[in-house]
Amino acid sequence: MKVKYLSDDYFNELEQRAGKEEERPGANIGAQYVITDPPEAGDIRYYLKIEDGRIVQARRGALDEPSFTVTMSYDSSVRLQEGELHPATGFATGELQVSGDKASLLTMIPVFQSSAYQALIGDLRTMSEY
Amino acid sequence: MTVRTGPHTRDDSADRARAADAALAEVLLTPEGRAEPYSRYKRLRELDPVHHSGFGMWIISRYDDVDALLRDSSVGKDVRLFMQGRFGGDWEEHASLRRMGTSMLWANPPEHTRLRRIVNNTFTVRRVAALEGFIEKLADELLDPIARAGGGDILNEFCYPLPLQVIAELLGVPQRDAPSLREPMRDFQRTFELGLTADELLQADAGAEFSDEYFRGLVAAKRAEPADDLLSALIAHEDDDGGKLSEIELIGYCNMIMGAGFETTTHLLANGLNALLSHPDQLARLRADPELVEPAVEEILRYDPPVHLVLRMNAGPVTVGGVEIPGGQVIATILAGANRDPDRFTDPERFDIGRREGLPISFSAGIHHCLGWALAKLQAEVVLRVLLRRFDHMELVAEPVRRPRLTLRGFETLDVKTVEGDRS
Repeated sequence: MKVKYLSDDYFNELEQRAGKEEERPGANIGAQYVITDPPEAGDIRYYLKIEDGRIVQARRGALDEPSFTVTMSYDSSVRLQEGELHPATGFATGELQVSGDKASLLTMIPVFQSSAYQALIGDLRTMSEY
Repeated sequence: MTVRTGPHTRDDSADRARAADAALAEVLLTPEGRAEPYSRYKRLRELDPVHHSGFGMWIISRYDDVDALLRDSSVGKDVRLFMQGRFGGDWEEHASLRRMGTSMLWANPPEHTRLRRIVNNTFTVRRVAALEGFIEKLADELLDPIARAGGGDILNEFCYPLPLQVIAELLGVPQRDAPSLREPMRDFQRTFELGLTADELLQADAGAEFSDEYFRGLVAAKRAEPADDLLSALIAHEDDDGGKLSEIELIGYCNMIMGAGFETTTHLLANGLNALLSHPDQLARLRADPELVEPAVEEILRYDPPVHLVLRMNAGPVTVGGVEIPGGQVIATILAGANRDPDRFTDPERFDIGRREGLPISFSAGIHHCLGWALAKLQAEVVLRVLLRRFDHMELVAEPVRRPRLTLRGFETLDVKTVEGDRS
């Protein structure tokens, strides 16, 4: 099955596969993403809601009060999903920009580095069409 | 002198920890923080000097705490804990990561004691001192084209090749072979940094496999025809019971010595040049009084060291600065932050080549104190003397570009203009 990258179907697949991450009590985050210069008109906004270290919601749209907002170009986001860009390098070079509560992004590093999350991204990589 | 305040409430401590995380996040996750980490280290040190970060790692930033922790025999290294946490359970499938698992850099006593004693007996003060003439001659040769052109990218044209060729000379790598090891070594060193893509890890593996194969051949060549070099001395070494080092152990030493002695010194030289050229008053002071070369190198090591942090792991609980860290943790000691601790150095944000306040902690401490510290300092001292002799004037011609790395902090390029003195 193929889904269009960052479409509603894509986030539906992400949400269905999520929740297997290791529990991290107290790691409750609303992560907002803004993807600039996508193939479609306007920016793409999506968010992840994480409770106790587990992704419980992944949708297109905007959170009222995100913990932090990560902004990147569509090209960077594709390279990130394809494993060609590491988030640590992306942030360090400014290719990925974070605003809001940067400290809360730190708490998400173990979640994003976990093998469960990497497996989830691996699944999405194989089914994504750009 | 840092003012120590009274006991904090739980809410106050949580606020401070959160603010410390924000400072840490700026260093790790923003270009501004990478470009100027020192003000963030200061905030960390003042807010929460023994900090349990939001991503689980403990961060130690006061000089005395860093020094005590690195010297604590109950704190060591646990390559499995670290590698599994960072790269997952299949980390040993990668040649580059496997190599670290067998390196002296990751060993604990008694194995570390044995490996370190052997290399201490061969990597001697005499062997380092004997390289001084070679370093000076090489520095002059490498500077010739820069001098003729009136400047250039001194990082890539000078600061990279010089330490590579010096460490090659020490080890016994033929000079003609040294350049071919530069890229494989750099690819391998990438594993020390946060943020490694799958492709970069494969590149690091290829680099590790290339240098393993190269050193396998070199060990065979030196066995057949020993010379007055470190590798030949290691091959000749016999334990008290007459035991010799295995091929794998010898290759491990070669990789460790080349790897640890090459890029670290590159960035020591480049960071030092940047510091001096950014502080013309200090450069003029050094030119007026060449006796200051030695303290100037110490100050460069303190002010902008090439290695910003080293990691340790503790099997059991350990108390640092009055805070108990439970066992099984990864602890980052911020050497570059400790070097700017006002409890240890007066006016620590000031670059002062006449400072004589004792050693910075840039070469780490304890049993893993840098093996090549004397060689690194010798190279920096010789380079400064040669630059002062060769050039009447040096200046930066463009804003140097920092590379986005932290464990080994340096530049991508360092473009300088040079004016040669009258050599007649």
